[in-house]
Parts: sequence; structure tokens; C-alpha cells
Amino acid sequence: MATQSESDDFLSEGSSSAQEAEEPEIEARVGWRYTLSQVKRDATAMAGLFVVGLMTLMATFSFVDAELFAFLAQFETFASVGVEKYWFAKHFWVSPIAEPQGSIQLLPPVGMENQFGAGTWAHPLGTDDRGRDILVRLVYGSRIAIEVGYISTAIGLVGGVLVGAIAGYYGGWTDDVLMRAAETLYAIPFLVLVLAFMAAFGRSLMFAMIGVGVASIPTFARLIRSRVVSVREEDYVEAAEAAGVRDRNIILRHVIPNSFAPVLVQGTLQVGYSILIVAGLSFLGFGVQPPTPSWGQMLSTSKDYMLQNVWFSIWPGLAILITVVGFNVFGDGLRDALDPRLKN
Amino acid sequence: MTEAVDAETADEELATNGHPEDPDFGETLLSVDGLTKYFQNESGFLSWLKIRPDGDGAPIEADRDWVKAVDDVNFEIKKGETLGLVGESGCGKSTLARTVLHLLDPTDGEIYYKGRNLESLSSEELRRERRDMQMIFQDPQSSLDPRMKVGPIVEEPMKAHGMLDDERREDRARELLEKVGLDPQHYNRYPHAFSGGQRQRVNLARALSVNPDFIVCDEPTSALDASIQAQVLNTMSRLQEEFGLTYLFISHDLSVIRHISDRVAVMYLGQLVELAETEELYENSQHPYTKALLGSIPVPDPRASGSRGQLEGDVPSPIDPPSGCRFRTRCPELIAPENYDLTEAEWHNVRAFMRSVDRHDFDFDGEADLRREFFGNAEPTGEGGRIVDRAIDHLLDDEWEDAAELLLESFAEQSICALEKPAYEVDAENGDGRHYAGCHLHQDRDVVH
Amino acid sequence: MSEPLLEVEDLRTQFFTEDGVVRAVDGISFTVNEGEIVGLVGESGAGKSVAASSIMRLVEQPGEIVGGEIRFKGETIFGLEDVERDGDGPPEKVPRDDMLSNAEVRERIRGREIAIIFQDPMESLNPVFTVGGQLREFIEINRDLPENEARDLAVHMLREVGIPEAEERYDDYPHQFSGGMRQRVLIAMALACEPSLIIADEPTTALDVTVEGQILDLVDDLQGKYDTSFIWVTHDMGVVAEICDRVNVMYLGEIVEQADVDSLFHDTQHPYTKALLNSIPRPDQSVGELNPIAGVMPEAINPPSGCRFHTRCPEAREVCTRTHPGCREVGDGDGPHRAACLKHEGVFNAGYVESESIENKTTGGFDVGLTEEGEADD
Repeated sequence: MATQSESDDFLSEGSSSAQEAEEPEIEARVGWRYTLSQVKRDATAMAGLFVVGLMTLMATFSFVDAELFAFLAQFETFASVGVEKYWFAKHFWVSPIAEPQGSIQLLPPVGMENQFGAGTWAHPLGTDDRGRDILVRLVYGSRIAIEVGYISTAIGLVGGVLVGAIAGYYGGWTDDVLMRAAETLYAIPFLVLVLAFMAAFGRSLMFAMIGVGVASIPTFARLIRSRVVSVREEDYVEAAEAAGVRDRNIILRHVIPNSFAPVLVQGTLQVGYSILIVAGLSFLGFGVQPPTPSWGQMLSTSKDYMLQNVWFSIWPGLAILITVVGFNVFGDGLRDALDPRLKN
Repeated sequence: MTEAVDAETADEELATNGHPEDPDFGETLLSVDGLTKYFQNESGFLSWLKIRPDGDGAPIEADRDWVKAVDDVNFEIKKGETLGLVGESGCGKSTLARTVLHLLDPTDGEIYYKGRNLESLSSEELRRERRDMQMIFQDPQSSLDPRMKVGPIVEEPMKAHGMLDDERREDRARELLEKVGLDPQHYNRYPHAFSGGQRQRVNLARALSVNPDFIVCDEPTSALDASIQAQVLNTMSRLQEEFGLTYLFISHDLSVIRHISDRVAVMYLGQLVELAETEELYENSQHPYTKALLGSIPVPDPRASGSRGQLEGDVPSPIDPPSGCRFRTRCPELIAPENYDLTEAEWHNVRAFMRSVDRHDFDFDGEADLRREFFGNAEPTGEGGRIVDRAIDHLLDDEWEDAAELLLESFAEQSICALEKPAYEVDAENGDGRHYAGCHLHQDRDVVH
Repeated sequence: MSEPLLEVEDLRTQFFTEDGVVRAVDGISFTVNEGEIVGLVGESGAGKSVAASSIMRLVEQPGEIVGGEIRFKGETIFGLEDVERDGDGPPEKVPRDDMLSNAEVRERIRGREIAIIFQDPMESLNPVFTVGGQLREFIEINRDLPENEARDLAVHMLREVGIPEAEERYDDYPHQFSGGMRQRVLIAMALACEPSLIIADEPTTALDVTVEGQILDLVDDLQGKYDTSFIWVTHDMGVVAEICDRVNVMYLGEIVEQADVDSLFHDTQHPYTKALLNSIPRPDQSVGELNPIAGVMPEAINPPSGCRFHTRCPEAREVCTRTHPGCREVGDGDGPHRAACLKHEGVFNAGYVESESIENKTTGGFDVGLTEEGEADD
């Protein structure tokens, strides 16, 4: 019986004889590839992803066009070649034939002869109070919106994740101090906090972004802390601890990756929300200053001309709406894709 | 016994762990002295403040309740042996395991590993010491990070201790996977692709990767099916032999403990009640709790005469455990207090009556009915009888709590079981090891620490 | 013997998942007589819990009972018949006329005639209502009693199952009870309507041994008192030996052995049962080495051909990979003893004796069911 059992045991190990030539590819149920495959099943989320992608692409492109060329123009070598800002606007949207002065479409003043021009092939969405092409300004305005959305969210996300993860992992006094501080921040109304921040440091776009980012830290911190508190109790975290892995590595390699799903979803939603906030700030006159095109500021200008040309207000409004909804819808889709409870 | 997995990887990095005096087989590897771990019952910012608006003293006072999870536990583990630790849920065995490894800081007491007091180590020294002491967890589902492939999981402890370089770590991980009975090709699989038993094998490989001497196994097979459990237990025995491992094996399953252990410790409500060699403990158990546990296990044989359900009531709260012997509130052999002159039968009846009153688990119909029910064969006389009479009077007035209080104070609290903590050494009938029993039934024996 | 209380015949329950059809219960038949405790034993994945909930018609989506018959006290809880459709299509299975409707099962059978006790009492009790309140409400609904009478009965039942200070604890919440006490509450709830049959789905698995002992004692007592029948679902052979009168051993959706408890343990006829018994460590004796069953149970989504146990069976022969054995009478003892194993040549006549013993590549057994994916590749 002993030999029998021994051989049984040995066989059951299945070690030596497992000589498959190729290990069959097994679908991993973690990682972005899998998440993306889950998102692909959801048409609404895909539409959101499309908007997010399109806006990001547009913003990147116009950022390069506007900022890079302006940067290059500082150097004499490039300036002599004749690099210019708004190169794209000049060459594609404004027909030089129909519009001899088109090269400065984004810059005021252009003269009033083309004020509130109707949609033409040259200006598909018409022109604004100063005769500038609305479509071109929308495209270049996306740069501000997306930049603000991403950067401020990144600030909030990184800060919030660190604060929340440390608080949740260590617990006790660390937790009490960090989370009470975050809650204090949370108690101040969002917009008031951002306005106060800008009043203190300056009314520039940079401080608007930092302000929105800092103000969103508590949201992220609370979110990840609640996950970390449960992940911390998982055996694999204790196993890492028992194995002698350093705290820093446990937090970075086990705790945060396993707590990150809701933060990622919140981050996506927060991008939309930040865009909205900064557009609101621009509307109120904080943030981006004219003539730099931004959606909020376009909206703000348009309110004075609502009766003369309602489209002037609708286009930037629509741009904000589509972008924010796109991020929200994508965030929701991501939530479904990442939520383990919905999986079989 | 420091041969590494293979001659190829058996280099100096694997072989030593900086211990000048590694104990030989059969010598003490780990000794635990008076180990105690209390937890704070509340959690929260100001939860230790108690608000007592109608109390006598200050309306707000500082007061903390402590959960006495482990209280004054002593034992030793010899190199190469398996010490089984058995107890019911909530008895503190998992806390004990984590405290032994200093994953939780002990409230009191010392742990000596290879002669070094773990308390005296700095946190970095302790972290390095962990290389030699590993742990295996109960839940195969949650003990592996779902976002890591099993290869990196097995490599992680080596990485943390700076062992080998990347390439050789991978080689060693593959070898270990094979050693524990998995296909080394599975190096790149995620944990979810494995069954429970296989995940437990990955756990074993991870624990073995840094070539430890001592492994704490916290219910490693409890979540597995019977046939898989047998596979994993056999693998664990084989690995113990091959690598000269020492196990502290924790389980609630007395059958598994009997199978795997050389010596067994039984735990109840934070304390050890009995510790002896396996055969001795199962065949000659000396503590009423151990006897009750053994009697309760369903034996997989319908012809075996089962005598189950031997214990009444629930385990008391560890916040306020009973004085003296912690098992006394449920013990079927609670010793009669000396100040009353009770016969065995009388004491038996008084004990049953006292507990029934305390639990309020009966109804009665007049005094005669009550006396017939509880004292039919033997009614106590003298001082003891008078106390019982007074308790019955309380019951007739429907004052259950007064009756219970009177009985407990007069009888249970006067027993030696309530007055002193028992710790005796009894003679072993099987084998030549020591047999510790925490029960006053052996008060004629030597008291041990 | 009188008419059995419950008859299950060729019951099939399947789960329609994305990856394919999981045949969780695949043609099982058994009976329960009055006043009897019948065990349904097997490892996880054997389909025993699905079988238990099928009896109550409690299978949830994407699961569905697709065939077989369940009769209880002369009523048909589940039964299908073939109906020829117009045209040439195959006959379609539709519920028979005498099959109880969903409403009838809910109102007449569940709770009143057949009660169920689950493994985790915390999940069966609502944490925001008092224990007594939930018990009272259950009694009110199922026995049509006015509130005060239902309350009295509830207190009585709590006392009956050994809850101390029943009157006082009536107003406690579930979390104030220990695990064993909660399980007692569920037993009280199950017994409150004096059903003829109680299905106990691993009711003591989450409990400590001493508490388990108390519960088994309690069930023994109450069963004697109320003459209730039990279907006892468990994976623990020890519990089976303690409490059951007759046992059905399940493997991968099928019943492989069916016998009274004594002959199951002492005159084992199926290799799986034998292997299972050999693989468990004993509390009452020291064994040198355990004899585990090689490999793991394959997934029910794509079971092995022939005898489903052949991939892990120490006695498997070539014929076992081809021929699927039904569960047939093999015993020579007093009671009926059925087993589904071809080695009983006299019964099955499948050519087992001449057939060659197969090299049981347990790697196969090990890899099969490794993952759903890995298994699908085989």
C-alpha cells in the first residue's frame, strides 16, 4: 500500500511528465489588455472612448501646433524660416482666397466686417463677434480643456493615492491625521477652494489646474483608502510582509495596484469634472485670458451676443458637453469592466 | 541540511543566513516564553472615551477594553519537528502564529529564535530575519496577488532579500515549482488559472524560495477538498524531509493535526491547555477540554460509537475571560469548592443546576418540580444546601439573575479552578516526551511554568 | 415499505454559461423515506448543492432544470413530457399538467412541506431585523397565525432548539448570536412549520467541532420528536457516518454509489468512495501516509468520456474510457446497494475483466480542469 500511495502521490504532482511543448496561452484576467477587451463589449463605453480619444488627439495636435511653434519661434534660426503659431488654422481652415486676412484668424482684432458670419465652406461653424472662425477656436480651445482635465486630475490622483494608501495601510494615528486633514479640505466647497487658491497665488491657468487638482485630492484619498483598508487584510499582503518585503514595495507593488480600479474610474470621471470646473472658471473670468482660445471663455463672450447669434453660444457649449459626457460614459464603462462583482 | 534545491543554485547566497550557531536537529529552534497579545477592542479616533452621563464619576472617562487574544503562552519547537496547534475558531491560534513571527507585536513575553530574542531586533534586522521564518496561509484564493504571475510571486521573497540575480531567481523559481508538484511551464500563469490545491503549492514554493528553516502554516489545507488536502499534506511532509523544515502547523481539524504533527498543543481562549506528543495527547488526554474536543469529532466510521456534543454553552468573551482556568465555565469536571462538604453526586447536581440557572435554559412548575428535576438523586445538605435553597427561593420569585449570581459566587468562584491558573506536568504513558496539562485535576503533580 | 416521501428520478440541471453548458447535475435518482436522514456527499463541484436546490426548484439563472422528475407526497414538483410539434421537428419538452406552478411551489411546498437550511446562517438572516421578529414573520406567513400566537410559537421554537434565555434573546439581532446559535435559529425556522422534509446544505461546515457535535445531537433529538426527514448535504464523511441512514455519493454531477451507511463504509463498492475514505486522516488512529486521489475533479462543462472517474481511478481499465456505467444494484447484502462501476462485471457485462488496465496518466488528471481554458483544450 505504501508503494502504491507513493506512486500515487508522485503521479499526482504531475511534475516530471508535464512536457507540453508549448504552454497554451491563457487569458489573463488582469491588466489593461483584458480591461480593454471588456470595454470593447460595451457600445456606450466605446463611444465614450472614441470621444476621449478624439479630444485627446485634437488637443495634442493643437498643443503641438500652438506651443511648439511659438517655442521654436524664439530661436532665430527657426524664426528666419518663418515658423508660426496657428499654422494649421492658416493652411486648412481659412481659405486664403476667400479670406485674405485669414492668417490671423485667432488673433484680435480682425476688424468687424466678418462679424457673425454664417456657415460657409470657409467657416463651417461661422465666425464670432470679432470675425474669427469658431471651429478653429474650438479646436485650439480643446488644448486648454484637455490639458487642464488631465493635469489637474493627475495632481489629485497622485496626491490622493499616496495620502489614501499610506493612511489606509498604516492605520492608527497616521490614518487619523491624514484623513482628518483630507476631510478638512473636503469640507470647503470645491469652487470656493479653487477661487481662494487662485486669489492667493495668481489668476493664471497653472494655478487653476493646481487648485482643482489639490481640491480633488480628498476624493481620491477617501476612495483609495477604503479599498486599501480591505486589501491590506488580504493574505497576499500579509504574505509579502511575512516574506520580509519592505513596506514601500508592499504598498507600491501589491496594495496600490489592487486598489487602483475605482481610482482609475474616478480619475476618468474627474477629468470631465475638471474640464467643467475650469470652463466655469474661465466663464467667470478666472483662468485663461483672452486672446488664448478656451471653451469657457468663448461661452462667456458669447453670452452678450445670445440674441444676435445663438450659434455662437451653442458650439462651445456643445463641445464642453460632448467632452464631459464622453469622459463620464467611458468612466462608467470602465467601472463595469473593472468591477469583479459583475464578472462570472 | 542546507543543500539548496539543486547543486547549480546551491551557492553561498542560499546556504547561510548569518546565524553563528544554527541548532542541530532535535534542539530548540524557537522558544516562546509568556507570550501575550491583547488587542484594543475599539477602533476610531476617540473611541476610547466612554461617555457615561448617568454614572457616578466623571461623565466622560478614558477606558479601553482589551481583547485578550493570547495570554501567557509558553512552548518550544525543536528543529525538524512539526508542532501542531489545535483549537476552535476564536481561540487565538492565528494571532499566536502571527505574533510568533512578529507580524504582530506581542504585548508581553519573549520569542527566542535560534537563541536570539526577536524583540531586541530592529525592524530592518527583523525583516532580514524573516528570510528564515516563512508563513503559509489558509486561503489559497487570497494569499496570492491576483495581479502577479506565479513566477514573480515565487521570486518576490528572494528579491526582497537580495538573493541571486534575475536570471538565477527565475531558474530557482521554476525548480521550486517543480519541487512542489507543479509544472515549471506554469511560471507565466496568473493565480486564477490554478485550482485551490495548486495555489497552495505555489504558496509552498514561495515560502521555500528563501530556504527558510521554520515555516508557520496557518490552516493550510482547511479550504481544500479531502482528496486534495491529502495531496498537499503529503507534499508538505516530503518537503519537510527534503529541506529539514520545522513546521508550526495550525488547524482546527484534529484529524489533520494527528496526521502531521510530532507534538500537539491544544489552545482554548488564548491559553494552552495541554501539550504533549501526538500519540500521548490523543490516547491519554488529560485535560477535559481536549477530551471533549476529541469526543466531538465525527469519526468516518458508522460503527464507531460517537459521543458527540459534550460541551455546553459557548466560549466566553476574550475581553473578560474567566479567572483561573479559562475552561471552568464549561468544564464538565469543575472541581467542588473545598468549603462545602458535598458528595460527588451532590456536586454533580449543584453544578448542573448552577449552569442551567445561569443560562436560563429551562422552565419549571413549582418548587417540587424543580427539585425533582435537578436534585432527584442527591440533594446537598449543610451550608451548600442552604445556598441552593436560597437560590430556589429566588427562582420562585422569578429572580433568575439573583439566583445565578448567588450560585456562581458561592460555588463556581470558590472552586480552585477559579482561584488559580492551572499548569501541571503529568506522566506520559506513550513516548518519553513531557506532557503539560493545564487542569487542576492534576494538582498533585509538579507545577510547571 | 410505504411510498417514499420524495422521489427524484433522472434529475438533470444545467447551467448555460458563456463558456458552454455546465451539466451540474446529470441524471441522478434517489428517494427519501419518511423519518430518514439521507446523505448527499461529495467534494466541491460534485453538484450536490445544485441537486439540493433543484428539489425546491430554487435553481437560479443561468441554471435550469432540463429533465427528470421530482415527486413529493404524490405531487409532481417537477416533470416534463414530450409534445410533438407540427412538422418534423423533434418533440419538445414541456411541463406536464400535473406539475405544480411556481406559485403553488412557493405557497404550498417551500417552508411548509420542505424547508432548507444553508451553510452560512449569517446570509440567511437579515442583519437589520431581530432574530425573533424574523422567526415570527416566517411563522405568520407560513402557518397563517395571528401575530401574538406566532410570537409564542417563535419563543417556543427558540427554546426547543436549545437557545438559552429564549424570551430575552428574542429581541436580539443576528450578530449578537454566535455561529452555532444562529444555526440553531435556522433550524428553529425550518422546523417551525413542521415540514416533512428538511434539506440541510452543509449546515455544520462553518462550525467548530464541539458546536457541530451539539447541532448533530440537536438534529438527532428533534428528528426523533418531529419525525422529519432530512437530506443532509455535506463533504464530510465523518458527519455522514454520524448522522445519515442512507448515503448517496456524488461525483461530477452523478451519483456513483448509493447504499445504507454501514455498507457504504464497510462494504464499499465504488473506487471513488473507497479512495475518498482512504484519503482522509483519521482522528481515532494514526496513519503513516495518506492515499490521496490523484489529480483534481474535472470541470462539469466537459466531463471525461465513459466513466467520469476514470481519469483519477486506480482501478480504471480501457473499457472505462468508453462505456458509461449507470448506477446499478450490485450488493449481495440485505439492503439495496447501487454503484456505477464497470468492475462489477456480473452486473454490467462490459468486458471489464478482459479489458487492459490503463496507464492512468495522472498528469492528464492533473491538467484536466486546471483551468476552464486548459480543460477545453483537452
